[in-house]
Amino acid sequence: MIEITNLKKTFNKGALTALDNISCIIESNKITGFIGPDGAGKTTLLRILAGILTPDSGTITIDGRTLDIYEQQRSNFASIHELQKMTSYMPQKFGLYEDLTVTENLELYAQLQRLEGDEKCRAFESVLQMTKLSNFTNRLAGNLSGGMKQKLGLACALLKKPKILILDEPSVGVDPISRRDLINMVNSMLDEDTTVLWSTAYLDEAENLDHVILLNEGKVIFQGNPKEAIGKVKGRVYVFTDVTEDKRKFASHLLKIDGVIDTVIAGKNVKILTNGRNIQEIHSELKNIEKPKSVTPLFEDACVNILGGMTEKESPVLQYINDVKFSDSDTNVVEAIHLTKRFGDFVAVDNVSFAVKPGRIFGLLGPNGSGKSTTFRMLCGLLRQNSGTAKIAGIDIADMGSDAKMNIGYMAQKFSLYSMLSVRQNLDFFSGAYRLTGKERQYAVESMIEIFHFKQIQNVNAGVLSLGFKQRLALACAIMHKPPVLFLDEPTSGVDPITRKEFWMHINAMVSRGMSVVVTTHFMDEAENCDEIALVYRGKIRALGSPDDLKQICKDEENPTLEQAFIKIIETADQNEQFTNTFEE
Amino acid sequence: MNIKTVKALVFKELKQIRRDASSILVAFMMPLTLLVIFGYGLSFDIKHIRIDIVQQDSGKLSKDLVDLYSHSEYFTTNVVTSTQEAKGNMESGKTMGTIIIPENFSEKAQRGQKAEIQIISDGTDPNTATYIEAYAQGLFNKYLLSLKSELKDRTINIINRLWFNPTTESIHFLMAGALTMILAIVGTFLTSLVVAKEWERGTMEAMIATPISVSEIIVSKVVPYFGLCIVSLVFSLLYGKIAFNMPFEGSIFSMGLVSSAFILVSLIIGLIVSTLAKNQFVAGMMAVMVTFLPTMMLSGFVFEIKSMPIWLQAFSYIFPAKYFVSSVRTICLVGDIWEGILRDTFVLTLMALGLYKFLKKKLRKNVE
Repeated sequence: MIEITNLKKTFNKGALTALDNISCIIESNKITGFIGPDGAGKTTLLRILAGILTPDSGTITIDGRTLDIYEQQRSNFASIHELQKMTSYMPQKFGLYEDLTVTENLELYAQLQRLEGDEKCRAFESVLQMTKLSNFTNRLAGNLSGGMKQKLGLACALLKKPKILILDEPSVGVDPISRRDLINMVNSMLDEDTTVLWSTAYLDEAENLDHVILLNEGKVIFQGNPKEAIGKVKGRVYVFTDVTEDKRKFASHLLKIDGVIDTVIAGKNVKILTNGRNIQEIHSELKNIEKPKSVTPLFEDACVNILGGMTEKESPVLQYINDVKFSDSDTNVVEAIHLTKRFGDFVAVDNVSFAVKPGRIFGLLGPNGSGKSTTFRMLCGLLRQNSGTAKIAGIDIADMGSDAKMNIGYMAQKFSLYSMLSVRQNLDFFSGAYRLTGKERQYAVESMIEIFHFKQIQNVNAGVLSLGFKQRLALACAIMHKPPVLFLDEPTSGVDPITRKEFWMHINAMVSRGMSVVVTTHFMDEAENCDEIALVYRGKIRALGSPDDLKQICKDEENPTLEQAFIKIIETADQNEQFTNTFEE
Repeated sequence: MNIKTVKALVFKELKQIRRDASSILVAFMMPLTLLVIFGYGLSFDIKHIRIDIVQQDSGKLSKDLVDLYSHSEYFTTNVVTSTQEAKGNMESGKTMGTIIIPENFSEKAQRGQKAEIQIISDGTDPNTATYIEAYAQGLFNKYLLSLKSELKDRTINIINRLWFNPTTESIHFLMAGALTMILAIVGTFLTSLVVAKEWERGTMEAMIATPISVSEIIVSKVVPYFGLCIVSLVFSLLYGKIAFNMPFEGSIFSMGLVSSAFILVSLIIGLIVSTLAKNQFVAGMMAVMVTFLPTMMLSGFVFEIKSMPIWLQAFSYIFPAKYFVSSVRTICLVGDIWEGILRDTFVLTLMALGLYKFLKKKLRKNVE
């Protein structure tokens, strides 16, 4: 059992508080999840517990013994060296040597852990079996897929069973099957004598954990069994099924009703979270709508509840963007025709085709390294394809002049604004870059400051903003010129759930005004907002259709989810490929 | 320190070196390139410079002198009679210099009076001008010496002999610098890159969270790259011997001694750089700043330290390359002059120890 009391850690001489007097208890024989957005303090906390970062103040005790975290050499304290002897730590950037093979990596860690002889053989056998890496022992770690790398990293950490296992975001960007394998691997080693710390930015992972510590801006906002948190919102989550009218308008209408604190679009359904107000009363404010069904809440609903629900009832973007459309409303806004991209021998994108209709959200869904970002970048003309065509509003991207490019808004995955300019200066610059002038330009900048609540921080340099505000600023810069097509590359990766929901509220609002959006994501629940999804895996589109269509793939399940569909599609793809490989050999 | 841990890490490092084309490239191709550039390209000996000789004296001694100049491989000479003509040739760029042998030269020399010649060189190319001056002067001195024995004249007593590089080939002189450069690059540059790469990839973070100690980390990095540097050194020496007939007057032992000390200093500097930078690009730039440039500028390998301003001379003492260059030169061109070699080795060892202390303080098992 690890007990943390009043732990504080600041960076940049106190300017940035990463951990703000955190206290919590981590019990053994359990996986304790550290959940929170980027910048919440997860990594800082785990690094302190791994003994590689010194806190400013606070204490840590392990099984009742105080940890000598400030290295005062006190004899009755447990030293950092002792801590590190019983700990396995897997950093966020997995600590694998990419130019060593799978076996060589395992050998190295085995030697460092002083594993020898039979013990080593048994350990190898068991981790290779668990990770299903037996067939890849001679492959360089750098050539493994993202999921396999994480599994190998975990295998290295598990070779000699540690008393404390610290895993920093082991599942981020990993395909759902590998995610499931990782959790199973950790579960299988749990016993009275082990403590596991697992950090993640995915809220849905919490439901598989026994104990979670929810962090936000360096503070613990919830700790306990996730079921306990979910219990608090029990009977407050309802679903309107088979919504016939425009689901986006309906959802935004629902949010305006008193007592509704959150709405979620999921395919044809719209889910609501209430503040406890009687559902009868809420329903009575709607006309001609069937009574909603009560459903089991998710951990995400619990988090939204803890964070206080949505603060805004309607996206203010609606006031700024009235009507954006291409003159010819029938043509496909974006078209990918047999796009192929190779990097050396590696085919990153293999013959990908799809079309996006006006006023729709099109989602590219897939794990890291699946080829979705490559496809995306070819569509915006940032990367030249080896073959195939990419068209925007019927015009080949290759022939597009800068006038036509005014029709596109683009938000990159990495923060791509000027970090040494203030928020206002960035907005000013981009409004000029998109050729807004005079009153129009002024109005655009002021509107963005209003819509995204930049008033307080308008003179702060963009580089020092929190991730949520950075992403908001990036979105603001991309939409100022009211582009008919908006490209968003993982816009919400790493941001807190409320900011994520706000983002989707804005996106949905813009789409309801006629804008078309192409978005990449690896969040399943976000994909539910899309009208159409292309599921990308290993460079190919494995499935294409609306979220509800895709769920039909596993219609045998009671309540099929996108994740289940995704897993099934990947498994089929893997089997087919294995079959072809065996056949070729 | 646990031997097994270090062994595991050293073997890991060796595997990585073998697989990483860039480290092989830096360790072998780079020395080869440097040696070829220094050997063929950057020769400081300029040969066959075109000059005019204005022969105003017709005595035997002046004829001998003209013969000496014309037969020298440094000059291509053309004897003219008037200063005017020589001036014209220099102005039009046909020649780079003029040597004037004045009237009564032979007579004066024979009488034991001060016999002089005038050397004029084209100052628009100061480098070549310096060479013309030096070569012409050198040849003239040689000539006077021969006269001295012939005439038994005590008035001529210029003694100017070039020792230890008998053929006066700058390549042999530069080779010592090239070796220093190679070891500095392989030692500091390569090491700083590999360690910075480990920070970038997160492998260092994983490593420092294990019970491994700081000295184990340092030793496990120093050992394989020390080996690589030695291999690179042997390779360079052999190549110098075979391709440029580089002299090696000293012993392998003395070379090994001073090289080991210098390699250690370079490796530790490399580790310090990457500990401070933790990023391959910055580490690379820093490594160039602290090793490559001082080796080039302040080790006395290209530019003579004695002709620098005093403060810069003082500054040059803090760079390890200076000590290594001086010892390598001695070993290659003169032989084992232990006084200098031991002094240099001692200074380098002290530097290594001091820097190791500093590194141990900086390379804490901490990510901050």
